[in-house]
Amino acid sequence: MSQHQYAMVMDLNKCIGCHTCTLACKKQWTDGDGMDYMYWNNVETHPGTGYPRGWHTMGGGFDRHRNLQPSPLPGREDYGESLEYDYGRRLFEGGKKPVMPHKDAKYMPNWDEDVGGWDKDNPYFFYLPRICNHCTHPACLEACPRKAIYKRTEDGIVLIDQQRCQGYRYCIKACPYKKIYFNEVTGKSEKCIFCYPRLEKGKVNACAAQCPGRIRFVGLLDDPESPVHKIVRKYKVALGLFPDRGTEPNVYYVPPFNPPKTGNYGKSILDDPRLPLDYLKYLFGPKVVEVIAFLEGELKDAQSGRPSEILQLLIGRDERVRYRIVPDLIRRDAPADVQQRTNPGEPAGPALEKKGSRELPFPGNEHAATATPEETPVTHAVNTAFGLEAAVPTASICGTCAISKLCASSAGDGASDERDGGQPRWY
Amino acid sequence: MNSNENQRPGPAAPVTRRKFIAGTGAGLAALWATRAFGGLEEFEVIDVDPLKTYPYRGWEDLYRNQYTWDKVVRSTHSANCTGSCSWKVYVKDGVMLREEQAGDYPRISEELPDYNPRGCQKGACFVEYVYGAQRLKYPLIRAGERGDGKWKRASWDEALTLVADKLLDNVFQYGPDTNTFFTVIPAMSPVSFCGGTRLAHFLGGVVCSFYDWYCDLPPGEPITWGVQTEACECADWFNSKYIVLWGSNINATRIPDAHFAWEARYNGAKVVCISPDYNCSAIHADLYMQIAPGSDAVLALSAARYILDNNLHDVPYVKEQTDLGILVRRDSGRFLRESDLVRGGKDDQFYVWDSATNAARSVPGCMGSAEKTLTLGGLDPTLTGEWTVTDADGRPVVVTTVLGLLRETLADPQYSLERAADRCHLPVNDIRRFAEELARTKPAMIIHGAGTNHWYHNDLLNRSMILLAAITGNVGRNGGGFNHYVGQERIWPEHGFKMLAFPKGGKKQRFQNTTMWTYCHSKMADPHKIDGKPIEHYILDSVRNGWMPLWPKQDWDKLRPDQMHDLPRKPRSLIVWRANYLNQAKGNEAILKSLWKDLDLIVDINYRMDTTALYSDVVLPAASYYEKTDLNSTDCHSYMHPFSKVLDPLFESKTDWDIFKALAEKIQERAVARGQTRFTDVGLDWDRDFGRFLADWNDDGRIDSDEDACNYILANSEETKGMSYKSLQDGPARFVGIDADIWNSDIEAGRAYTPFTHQIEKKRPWRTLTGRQQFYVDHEWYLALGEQLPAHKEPQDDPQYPLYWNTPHGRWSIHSTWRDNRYMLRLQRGVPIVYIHPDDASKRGIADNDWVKVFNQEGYAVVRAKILPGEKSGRLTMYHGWEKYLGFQGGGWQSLTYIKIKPTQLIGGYGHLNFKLNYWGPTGNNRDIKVEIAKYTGPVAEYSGAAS
Repeated sequence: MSQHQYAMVMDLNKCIGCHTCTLACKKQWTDGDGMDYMYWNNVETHPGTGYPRGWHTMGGGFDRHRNLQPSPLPGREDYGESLEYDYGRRLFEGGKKPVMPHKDAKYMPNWDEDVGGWDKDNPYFFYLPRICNHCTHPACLEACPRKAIYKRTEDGIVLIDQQRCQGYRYCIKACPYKKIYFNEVTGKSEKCIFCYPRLEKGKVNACAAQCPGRIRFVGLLDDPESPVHKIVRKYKVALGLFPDRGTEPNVYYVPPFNPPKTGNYGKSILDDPRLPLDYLKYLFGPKVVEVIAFLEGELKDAQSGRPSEILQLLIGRDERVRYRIVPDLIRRDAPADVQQRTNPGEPAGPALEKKGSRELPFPGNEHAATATPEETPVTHAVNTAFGLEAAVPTASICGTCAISKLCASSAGDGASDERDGGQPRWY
Repeated sequence: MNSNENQRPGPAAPVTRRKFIAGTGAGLAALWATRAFGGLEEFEVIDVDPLKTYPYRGWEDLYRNQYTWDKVVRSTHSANCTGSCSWKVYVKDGVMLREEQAGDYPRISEELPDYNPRGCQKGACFVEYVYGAQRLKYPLIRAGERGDGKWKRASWDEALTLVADKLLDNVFQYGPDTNTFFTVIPAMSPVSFCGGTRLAHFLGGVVCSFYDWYCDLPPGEPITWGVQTEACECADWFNSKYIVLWGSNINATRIPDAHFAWEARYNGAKVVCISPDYNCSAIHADLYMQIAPGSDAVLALSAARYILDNNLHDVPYVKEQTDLGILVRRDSGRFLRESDLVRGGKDDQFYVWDSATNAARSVPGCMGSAEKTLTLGGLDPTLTGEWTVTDADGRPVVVTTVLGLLRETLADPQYSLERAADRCHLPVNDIRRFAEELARTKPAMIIHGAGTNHWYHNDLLNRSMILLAAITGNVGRNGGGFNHYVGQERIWPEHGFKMLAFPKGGKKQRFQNTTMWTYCHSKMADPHKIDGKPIEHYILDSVRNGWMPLWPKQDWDKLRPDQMHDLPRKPRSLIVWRANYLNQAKGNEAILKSLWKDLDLIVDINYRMDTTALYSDVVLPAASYYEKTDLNSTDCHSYMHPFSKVLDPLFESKTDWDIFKALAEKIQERAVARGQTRFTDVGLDWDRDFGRFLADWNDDGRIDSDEDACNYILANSEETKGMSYKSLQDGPARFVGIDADIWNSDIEAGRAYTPFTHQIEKKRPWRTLTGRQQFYVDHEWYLALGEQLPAHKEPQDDPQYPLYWNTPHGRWSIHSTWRDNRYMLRLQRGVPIVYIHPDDASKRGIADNDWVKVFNQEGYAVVRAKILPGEKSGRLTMYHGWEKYLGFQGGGWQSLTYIKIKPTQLIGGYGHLNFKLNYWGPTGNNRDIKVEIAKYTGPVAEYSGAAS
């Protein structure tokens, strides 16, 4: 077992289905040869076939006795076409015909976007963003005959060794989430790496950093101060996908609920729900019902003027609330050879240029002027349970700005885990 | 020659392919099929448990190396998305690789969530356009018919000479008002905007509007509030306790801001979504109302009636802040004016019935009042009643109040809850609870969008919704109001911008409402009669009255309404930049057949070959968003931030500013060479000297570079005092103040900007005739058409067709930008699609992904169908902006539309309602179009493969 486990929570009641996460990941990691078709991060509409097509009905994972379960290998067509367009011919060479894609696609990664289901006059759907679950018991790891898949002991990230992988794809069959992709050019299988090169520099995952819906929370599950610990372990409002498949996923979802059916306004969401509970139970297990009931109660409280602690946390007012990245701790607990390769203090590249600091400040803008260059991770003095500093993104905090109170309060906050009865401290 | 050059990868082609993995691309397809589970190679057995330890971790550097770069520069985008998001662009080996939100908007307060990370999936892949096959690299001159895509590569000198000569020909031969300039939305890149408008200004050309033409202007705001559009910045949504998404699909069209609504919900707000389709914003609402298309005013007015009938309205607010207490004559329907009661009295001083003195008393704060305040002092207006006053001639005049008339209007049975439920397809209880909650939950806001604003009767819709926000006392309060967000129209540093755009002022500039210009210069007739008369009758009247301009100038008194589409003087040139005029134009089939044929020079300045560029004569390559120096702001937030040259303009492109500078220089050079330097512009009383054209354009060298222009705007605006272009490189800067002549609220530290606090808190009069939120308009045309008060009118549609044609803003493009971006197309279905309800599809034998023909009397479009349970039966939706050349097997999404001008938007000379570019002029609405759809079995163009 890994000593620590990075985990992610995605709040599906905040997800707007914009796919910025998908593009953030695509442009960061999967823009290379053989990778066009793969989306380590994708967003799918449910109920729906998902991507690859039908993944959730294929099988994989473990049975109760920890035996790997059978699954077909998705065909290339199940991942959809990566269409190309010949603009040159129509726009610059006098071609009369309309620009058409190179293939007549019958399925693509977001083919059934916004379709969902309907019950008479009540359509329903929700968005499910997906990455590799970096499972506690990764079926892919178990299935790999090369032992080319491993789980990093220092942070629980599951990786496929791109040198040793031989592309057999047992891992793809074994993964119940079908989140591993075969690269036809390199002959290797690839997947989400939980952005370890970013985390090692104190930067949150690209999909989270770029999420405008601000649905993602990242941190160590075993760090009592991390938002994921609070959401998953303390308030218990986030659930893994397909808990019955035995892999113990480390991506958790705050389950979705749609508005009441037409004519049901005022009744409980669980009373004749628009979004069928059976489908949610299928995805998230039976606990989903009590979680939704709890969240509905919290919403009602909030609407009655009684702020809800968990909802205040899920608001996630700024990135310090949503992410807690601890590169120093992870490095400390990494093997010695890995420690030599990672240095949280050394930037991954030059910082964004600051050209005009001397011409500032002018009223109302001191924070922008004094913010530390963003690319250089600077740790903010926050005590942690591990006795190490957490890297807190500094873009929105500084010593002299209007929110200096915040800075001060977080600096002195030796926050304990449990509910302390007072105002929640995370905003 | 050399047209191929344009899509061959240049020297700076992207090196995004990974080079670190030794591998071969041979036999790719075969690899997938045969390599699986071959088991031919020996296992190298390693004796470890990879859950616990792994000995070969050196390879991990592979991905670490990918997360490195040489340079990162701040820039943004200007596609009129209203986002105004600051981004970092990463460069490696001299190539732009990727972008990531800068994420450093300063926080407003401890309580409010911040604006980070501000951006969307489209902004995350703009680099594709920098190097993509659509990129314009060199000046091009048309070598075939317009639209053929046959070009001759030209030098800058050759292209500019052609354009300059033609513009000068037009000035001297046909008049300066035959040169027409179209660009949009200064806020998103004001320097690029001003480069061209300065040139138009010194040439005497016509500058066209955009905000009304695209129907993004909510005409109810100028009518009711005397402003263009005033909305709170989006952080203020978080202050609300009741958010109504009305015709606004924020999750698709306000991606960077949507979180504020859902976070407000977690903070105790209820969210209501009113929309015919169960869209991606509806899924998170507390109450979803699947309203029938075109019935929104019925819902608003039935709710208003319920609120008034049950005394849930905010009486003190209504008395002070609205015209509902103002007296109206029963006989004429006109306001009771001072000129009615006193000989020589003012026309713009109005009255209330004071309960204390039981008499009509003049109220302060009217346009003609000496006292510029809303404070009523000792006055206590009676809101309902009927009284008799004596006029200046001693005759009795029966008067009532605006509220009295409004109650009479709302008493119409169509506004009863039951009838409204029937018309709107909604449960009675939902309407009642909606009205109750809206009135009782404070603060409450309506977030309004194009879904409703694009209807023909948008003015009535706006006024009905604003009425709801006003009678509940929500307008002018944080977290409340009617907040309309369509288009990035607000230019915060307005004063500096105007000085830069039109140096000698608006009176020395020919301005044109584009809706009228396009309609009248195309053979496109709206068949509807309004009060028995065609719209051309109203247009001619409006122009003759001097209410609306129409260029080129004609001898209007000699023209008849039936000549309005074949005017003697026609526009001769059209210069388009920062816009895709043709693709986005309502009625573009008619435009291609008429207006386009009359224009003998069409110039497009662009970084990519869009539809307008394709149908142009001269295409000039502009720098992309990542190769220019400019500014960017929006009404959605209160910060200024910059565009930057991540790399210098690529290929032979230049920034818009530099292109217009080069053109200005060329005009001067050609004017001198032709001996045509002096031109007396009689219409504007301006002796022009083209011999110093460049010196005029760049203010004798004082505003020569684009950075000079940025600094000029910043220095000449209260909002940006102390900022410089360089200082903005440090990060978005919040505005430091406001120009009180322009704005209605202050920028305050720690407080989200919300409009009209000057009126609510400082009692400054509203910018209307009555000085109040004005729901009653006693202009003769309004009275004649029965629109003096908010009312519901049925859509101005074509009933011979069964389905509404809905072309809203969507998730995957900003208008036409990103429509052709393959990263985006791969996450859709790759070709244009129309959404259809399952019942409407099965009735017509249409299956999912079938090719279908959508048609009506205007034209047709052949696209693919996608069956969507959330679509409203009786309507088709095609998210707008698809380029005409992409995937359509004939026609385009605008081939089905035509322009319908509403007479109420043609008026002028009425208090606060006078023509003003992008503030007041007829809107180019398009929601009332109807169509039919059928399965298409004709030929489909070849699926043609990637560029070589």
